[in-house]
Amino acid sequence: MKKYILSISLFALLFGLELRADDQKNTQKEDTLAISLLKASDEARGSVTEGLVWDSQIETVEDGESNTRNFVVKAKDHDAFVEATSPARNKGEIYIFNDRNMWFYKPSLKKPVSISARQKLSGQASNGDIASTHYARDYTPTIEKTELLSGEKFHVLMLKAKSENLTYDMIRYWISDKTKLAARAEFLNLQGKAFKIGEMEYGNLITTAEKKVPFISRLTITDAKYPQNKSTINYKAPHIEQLASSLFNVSNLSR
Amino acid sequence: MKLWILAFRNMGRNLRRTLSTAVAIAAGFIGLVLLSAYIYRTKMGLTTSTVYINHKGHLALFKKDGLEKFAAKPSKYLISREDQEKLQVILDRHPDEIEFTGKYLSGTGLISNSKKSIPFIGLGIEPVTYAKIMHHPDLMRWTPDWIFPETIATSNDLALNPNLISITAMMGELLGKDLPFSQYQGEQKSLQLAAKSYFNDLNANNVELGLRHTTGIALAEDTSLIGSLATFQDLYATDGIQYWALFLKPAASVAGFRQVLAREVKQAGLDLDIESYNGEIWGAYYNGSMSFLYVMGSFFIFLICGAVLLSIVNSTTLGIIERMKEIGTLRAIGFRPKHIQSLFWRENFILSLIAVFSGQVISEIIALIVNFAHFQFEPPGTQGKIQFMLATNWKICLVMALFLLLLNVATTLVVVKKITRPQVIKLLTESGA
Amino acid sequence: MIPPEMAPSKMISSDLIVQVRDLYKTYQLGETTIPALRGLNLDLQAGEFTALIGSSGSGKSTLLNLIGCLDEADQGQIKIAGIDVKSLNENQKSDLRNRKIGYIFQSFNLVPVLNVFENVEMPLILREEMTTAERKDLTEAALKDVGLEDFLKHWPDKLSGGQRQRVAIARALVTQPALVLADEPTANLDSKTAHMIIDLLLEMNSKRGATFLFCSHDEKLINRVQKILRISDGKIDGITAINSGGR
Repeated sequence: MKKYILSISLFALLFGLELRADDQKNTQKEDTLAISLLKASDEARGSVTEGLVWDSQIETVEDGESNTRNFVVKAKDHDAFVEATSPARNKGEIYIFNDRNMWFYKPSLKKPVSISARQKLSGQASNGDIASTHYARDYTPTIEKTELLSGEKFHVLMLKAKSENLTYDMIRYWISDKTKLAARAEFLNLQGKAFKIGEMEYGNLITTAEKKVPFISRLTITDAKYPQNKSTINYKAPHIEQLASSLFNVSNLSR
Repeated sequence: MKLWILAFRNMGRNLRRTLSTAVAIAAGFIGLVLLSAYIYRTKMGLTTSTVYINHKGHLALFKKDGLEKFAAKPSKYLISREDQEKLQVILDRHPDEIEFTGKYLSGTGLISNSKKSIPFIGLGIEPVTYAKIMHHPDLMRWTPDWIFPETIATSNDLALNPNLISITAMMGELLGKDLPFSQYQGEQKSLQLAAKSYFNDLNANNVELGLRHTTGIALAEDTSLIGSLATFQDLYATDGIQYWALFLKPAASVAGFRQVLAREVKQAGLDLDIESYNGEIWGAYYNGSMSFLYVMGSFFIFLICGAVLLSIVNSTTLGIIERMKEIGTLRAIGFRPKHIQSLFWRENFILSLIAVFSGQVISEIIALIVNFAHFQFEPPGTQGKIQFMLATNWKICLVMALFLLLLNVATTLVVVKKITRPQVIKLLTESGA
Repeated sequence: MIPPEMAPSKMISSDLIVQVRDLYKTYQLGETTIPALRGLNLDLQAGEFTALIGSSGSGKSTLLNLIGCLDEADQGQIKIAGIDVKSLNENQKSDLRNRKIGYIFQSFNLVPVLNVFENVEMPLILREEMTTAERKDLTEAALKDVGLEDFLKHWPDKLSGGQRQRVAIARALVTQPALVLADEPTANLDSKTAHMIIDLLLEMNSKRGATFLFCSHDEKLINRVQKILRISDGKIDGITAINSGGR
């Protein structure tokens, strides 16, 4: 009898260990998939190693008032240089992104000002939304589920910020299984509640050294509570351009 | 007069009891005086801190609902330049009430040393007003611990250089700037302010480090920033102001002048709210602190008065019981009940008067010793230690003395009325007459 | 305000100073009711010098207290100088005591913190219509009448028993009352002093014309009165008139 019980216990233990090992393998597999999906989707949002230049127009409707602001965005690797072109009041204002740090400068300033990516740039668009996206670098992804949207299979990823100075703490991110492009994002607060919803369109194409890749053409960010308040970032004329590293050097901005 | 003499002489009949009652009344009065001295000192300290150090003025004029809604929608709740001009005409009519005024604009943003930025809650002040406030005698009298001598000494600098800003030592530490701030010259003292302008875009301007202040409140100490009104108007891209503070002359009645002003503002067609420094929202810290002190003070006054009353009831009752026969005799020769009551209240009045006078003298001595000893303490929620001071105020002392006298007389009357109610013969025979 | 019926002129003009009719008074001692007066009737004419005698508990002191408005009767009527006592409120009774009645107590009842002059002056300070000078004159006159004009500033505790009773007599007479009531005025005095006090009372009776009614067991005093009222079981059961009295 004793021998019988011992055999069952040993079997259960080995079976249990086997199951746990299977779980770990599955998780690792999912994590790898999530990261590769995120990397692929980032490319279409400006995260490329070559110099990339585009015009950005932000149309904001808030509390019944609307305004439009235009920028030229120059991004390379993890850096970005954003210059306001209109309206006239803001012309010449510069935002510089160095990795996760961000700076604001205008011609009358003696020195650039360190600012936060979370601050609102215009309407629903935060400072961090204007430049290229590096979610694979900044967030830890996990696949929550897959779901069908208009007949297309999407992986729903939960992104958790790796550090505190990022634009958002948590993002629920829908990436197409087929195109590897992100179509929707819910920007969540620390309680996991969506406060902004982003929807992306990819009508642009950029040609890198290796291939032609789709590039974002529109990002619509809507207030989750007051949907009439929204900002639309239109991405125009994206193209690869050689950009000098000194462009992103903050110290060059000081007078 | 004869009744006063009789009352006075009666006090000497049982000296030990009279003395113990007098000590009880005097101790109670000392308690009341010292408690009121502390509350009065705190009130004056808080008033000065609220009105001058925190720049709320005795009265402050806001755009209607601006006090509550300015922070959320500043551009909508600004007092426009046109309204400021109309208001100036009204204020010019009241030189007897207004000592000086100041226009203010507050807001939040980031202060940057080019390497890092930290958030600030800033206040833009007219430089002349800033200098007047810093040289105001009330500050020296009531809140000397919360104003640095260097703050006063450099307060005229803002008028000479409107780009200067005043920050706290704690904010300086966060920005990597050590005290004294005057050690920084040229580029080293250059700082930048950044904020969302009223056009909803990011704006920034250059400022210079130079002045130092303290808020007196721990929670506000790492974010407080003061600059010139022009600096803030430039930062937020406006020529409007958030509020117009009025600093009144000592003789002016805040509540009375507020009514007058409200009427004139309305007549001028201006849509403004007038807030006073002790208002529930505008003077929330003052209001909350004083409410707490008043509740605490009332509780102690209740305890002290209760103890004094018991002592009066006790001594009066014993006095009456001992003198029942005498009271009967006086009734027999024609004294009305009210004459007997009057005799006893006079006795306790004289006793209370002597006790109150002695109590006042002792209180003044205690206050003098306490103030001379320079005890330091740190009240909860405040930044740094302040001197524990007792400030006796003759008006408050007089009111409390009258209150105590009245209370004692009233108590005596009740006790005497109750005990001397029986027939005269009962009073005479109570002690065997 | 002095009620018109209490004006001095009216006091003097009335012949019947005390009028008592069907007076009843009981005391409650625990659950036991003790009758003190049982339908007592009495009249006293102006200027009479009358002694009230009777055994202990016969109702002498009770009657004196009721006539002096120091106590309230259960039933019956008391008129002092024509004024029905029952119709008066507490303040009016106080005024009546002050203006028409002088009371001499067995144990003198002087106020210890007042000197001789002040003790005697005390009933007069209630007279708002009187000036300080008038009060002083009357007080000094009263003290002179009792032979204490040289003791004005003395304190009661420095006086002998006889002197204290003389002060009490002066205090009772200073208001020039129509009626003087005395409860055992010589009981606490030695024989010699008692004689002196009796002489003084008689002298005051003749000099001031006030009606004197006192209760006493003192034979020395009883032998010198004009009229003796014997009280027994709460009623007057005998009146003895002695025309010459002790004078």
